[in-house]
Amino acid sequence: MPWKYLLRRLLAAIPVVLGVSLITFVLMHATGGDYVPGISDDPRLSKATVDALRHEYGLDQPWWVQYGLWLWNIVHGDFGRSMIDGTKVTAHIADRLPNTLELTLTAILMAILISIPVGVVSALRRGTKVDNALTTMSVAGVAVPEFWLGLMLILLVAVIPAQHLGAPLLPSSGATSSFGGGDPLDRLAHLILPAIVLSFTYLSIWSRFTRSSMLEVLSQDYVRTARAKGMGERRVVYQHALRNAVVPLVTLVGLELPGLVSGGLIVEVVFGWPGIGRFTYERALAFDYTTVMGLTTFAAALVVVGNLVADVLYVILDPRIRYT
Amino acid sequence: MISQGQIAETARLAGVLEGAATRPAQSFWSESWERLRANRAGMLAAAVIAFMAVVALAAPLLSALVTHHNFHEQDIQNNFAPPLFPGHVLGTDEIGRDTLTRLIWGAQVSLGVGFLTVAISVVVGTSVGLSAGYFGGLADDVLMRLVDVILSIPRLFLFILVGILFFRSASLVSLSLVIASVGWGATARLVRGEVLSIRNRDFMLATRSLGAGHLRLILRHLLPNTLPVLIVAASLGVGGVILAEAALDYLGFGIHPPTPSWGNMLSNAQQYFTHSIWLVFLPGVCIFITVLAANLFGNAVRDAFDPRLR
Repeated sequence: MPWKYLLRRLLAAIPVVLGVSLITFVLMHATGGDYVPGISDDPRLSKATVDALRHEYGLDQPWWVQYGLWLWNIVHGDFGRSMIDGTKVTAHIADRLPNTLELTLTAILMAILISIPVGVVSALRRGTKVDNALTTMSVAGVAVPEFWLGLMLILLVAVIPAQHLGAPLLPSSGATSSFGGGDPLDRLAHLILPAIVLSFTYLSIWSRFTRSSMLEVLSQDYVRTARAKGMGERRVVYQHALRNAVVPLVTLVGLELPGLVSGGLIVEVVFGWPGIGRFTYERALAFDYTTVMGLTTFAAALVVVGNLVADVLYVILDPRIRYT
Repeated sequence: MISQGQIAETARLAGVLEGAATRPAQSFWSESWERLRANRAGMLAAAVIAFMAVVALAAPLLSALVTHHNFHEQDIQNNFAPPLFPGHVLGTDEIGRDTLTRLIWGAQVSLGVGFLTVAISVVVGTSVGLSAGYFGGLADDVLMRLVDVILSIPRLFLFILVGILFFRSASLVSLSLVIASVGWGATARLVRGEVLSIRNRDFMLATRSLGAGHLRLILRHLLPNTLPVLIVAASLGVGGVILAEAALDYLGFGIHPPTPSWGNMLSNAQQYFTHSIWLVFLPGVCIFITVLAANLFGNAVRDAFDPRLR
């Protein structure tokens, strides 16, 4: 039954999360993780003070004790503190996570809404010019670097109109948090460009997938039966074929769930979107190890959760899959 | 009674069958190769990749004989020269370095990292996948959990973390090692799956009962049977690696200037792109064309080696 399956999947996820935390911690430790900028090399601090500080933060302990402590904190929802501003990493995450989710969820939703009709049209007009054009576009779509597509869009929609019309059609950066009381319309205007770029890759993959899935379903016996008994083409396509063709797409969309938090990093950087990805990037440039480590562990833990959710969703949606 | 017509028909059918039987037997490899050769888009893509590879390898020669510039040579008087400027076919950047020369050297980074990363991933992933699938049990459990762990850490986050921890400036080889440290996971999963489906076939049992050891079974019998999926996975992998590498360069965690790479040229140029669009446009086009060709070739290889997936 689903519950037993769910429990087994949950148990299998535990060693994975442990492994992720161990790898990030060891990486961190291997590079002299007890160095604290602004403290370790401050000439005004005596050796005794530095040692006392090291002792206070447990940095004089063997690495496995430190790892145990760190893990203990993570289990209690504490991903450490930034070594630059001393703020808890979880506080930074809470600040930026809604922004990131807003961007990634919009992109995924846009991609679903566009890729299904595109895939269906391609499948129904297989071999025609329309099909060829759409298929070529989806092949090309996977090969475009996100940051380049973003910059080109900024050029077309913001820079060139600003030079010729005096104002950009859409803002290219500088989004403020709508959860901090920003103007919703302004927020939406800022969301459009990054969401388009982020949805592009999904769109390319999913529309091609919908096409082949649809072609496969259209050749099934039950579709022929439906046609044979005189059912209208519209009903055959949209009621019988499409419903079954979309089920495998759910897995594919599910595969992107882990990327909800981490997948938008480049787009966030290009468009200055105030999310987790850009924050990680900024802190990495500032060599804020502890924050980057906390964020990486957090993002990886969400990947494990996302995989779990996708698996369970799939089992619920497709009764042909057995719980094993 | 059997009529004359039926006898004639039977004889004709027998003739057809005999003809089929005398058609020379063709190996899986030559058949796949023929299918690949027949795919025009795939062969065109292969030609593009081959051209890029030759350009990358011949970069020192090309910059000495064709463009007459070095990638770090400055021509301050002619900075921000547009394409088709005399002496600079594709223009220059903010300190007058020749764009075409830098693009040619940039090909070394993209293609070098692309091929090296895939090679490392395939070697490591295949070894792990073969051992996990063949030996099973505890080894399988441990290795596959390790793969789960590796694939759970968001790629870019891991690259960035490794980037700031271990090197302020990456080289082609170190960058390949970093990207391959994640890439081998998917290959290992794939190979293990293949091994599991082959391991219990009759020919394996027969070979073992003839006294073949573990090493012989793995290398002579399992490995060749996993080659088709490996070839497909490797050729489909190159494009993704090139994109990931360009992204790292763009973010500043990959190859650093003054060594030119398509990613760092683009990131350097974006501050000037209100007036010098081509500086952003050209490196992006190079990445796009190379990745597109790599993906198209990968698709062609897949169609040729695995007709089920077509």
